[in-house]
Amino acid sequence: MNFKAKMTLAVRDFIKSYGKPTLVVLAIWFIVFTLNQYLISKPKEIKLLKHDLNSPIMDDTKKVSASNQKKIHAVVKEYFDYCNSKEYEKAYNLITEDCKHYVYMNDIENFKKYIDSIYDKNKVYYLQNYSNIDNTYVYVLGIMDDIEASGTTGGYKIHEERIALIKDNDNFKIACDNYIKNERIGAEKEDAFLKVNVASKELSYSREEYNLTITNLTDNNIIIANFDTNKEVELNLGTQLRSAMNIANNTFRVKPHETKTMSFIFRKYFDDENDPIQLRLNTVRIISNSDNSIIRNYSFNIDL
Amino acid sequence: MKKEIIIIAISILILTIVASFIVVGIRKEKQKREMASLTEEQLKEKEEENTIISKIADMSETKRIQVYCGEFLKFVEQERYEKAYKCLNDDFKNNYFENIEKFTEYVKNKYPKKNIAVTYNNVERRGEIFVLKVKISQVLNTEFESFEQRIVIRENGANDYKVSFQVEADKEGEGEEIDTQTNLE
Repeated sequence: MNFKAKMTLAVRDFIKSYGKPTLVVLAIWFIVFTLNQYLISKPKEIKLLKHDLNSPIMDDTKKVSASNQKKIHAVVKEYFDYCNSKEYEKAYNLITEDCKHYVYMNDIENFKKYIDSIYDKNKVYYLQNYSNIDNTYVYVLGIMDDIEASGTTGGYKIHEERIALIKDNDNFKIACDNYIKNERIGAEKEDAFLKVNVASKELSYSREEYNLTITNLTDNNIIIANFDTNKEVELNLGTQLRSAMNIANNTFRVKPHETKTMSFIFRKYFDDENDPIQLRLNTVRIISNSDNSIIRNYSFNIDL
Repeated sequence: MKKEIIIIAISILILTIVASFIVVGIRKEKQKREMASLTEEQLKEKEEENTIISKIADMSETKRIQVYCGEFLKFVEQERYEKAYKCLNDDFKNNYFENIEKFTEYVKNKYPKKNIAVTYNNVERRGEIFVLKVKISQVLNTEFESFEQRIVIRENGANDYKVSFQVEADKEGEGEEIDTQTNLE
């Protein structure tokens, strides 16, 4: 048999025995090869070093989940668009009840004044994640003139504030103007002279305001603070003490058998990791009715 | 059986090598034809673009923005007004330079004809936009009245950016008004 005949026979035998598996292998090879060539021919995407506005400034390990990010961006855009177009009521409906109560006294007119003070012309905005603590997401909201359109010709304004995004059922509401939320405390202490209930505190980004109800159980006036010293009321954070900021030029006095509400404000950043452990009334003075002398001067500490 | 498997494997290997050579050859031919269809100027621009992209690939954002600013002013200096005009933000164009002639007239009167020197006094990020405060002067010419200018740049991708700038100096009472309550009470 000549060579040509032998080859033909060999090829025919091969195809008969291994035709199908060979076809399968060739098909797989063809797909892999084509895919490889396609990927090689795609223009290479250059990965530039870029700041991520969704990465929290304070701790980049505590990122917002992708689904929450989407919802947050959507509600902030909605809020901004309403503010920009002066649809006050719609914007007001996107803010938290705590914020409406504490910052705007439940009066939309106050909110309108605030919006009008910032949105004096068409604005644009940017949003930077700042810190995320439990389910409270703090962002820096920057509201500025459209400097891309103007090139900053004629000057320009930028207003930055911290806002907090608080989950409300499945959606988010906004606490604006550096306010965060109200937090219930319910700490109470009583002695023979005084009963103090620390009901709650208002958290803003850089401060905490404690709401107290104080009952004078005596027949004499009691002075809690009158700025005789600057450490009359302190917040104990464990490693440090903070003096109340709102005592200067104020006298915090409770008349005999009177129940009074008062609040004390302390510098405290929302995202610093110091938890307050105690409120200290360091110079509680019981004043004699007859000659205004101090009958008793003592410190009254409430664990939080 | 073993013999047949070896034959299949060798055949696939040969097939792969041959196919690779063919594909590489086709690709090179395609590139050659593409390059041949470009004008000298287009080739130069493409090369310039590739140089800039490889230059900025590992740079920080701030440095890249400065490169873009420098590039824009280089276009102006080299009288490549069309290139410079294309860099402008669309809204900014509509507001100040509705056509390239207006833009050309402005830059010819404003900037030095050659040897533009840029000093970067400040670069600030505002979200995804950068505001640069620069001083424009002319190298070795103290007679040119240098001036300060704010330039706004947004980066959309590698060497893909849009520019706006302060068209005239601030009048009295104008300027920046930045209220960052983030520095707080």
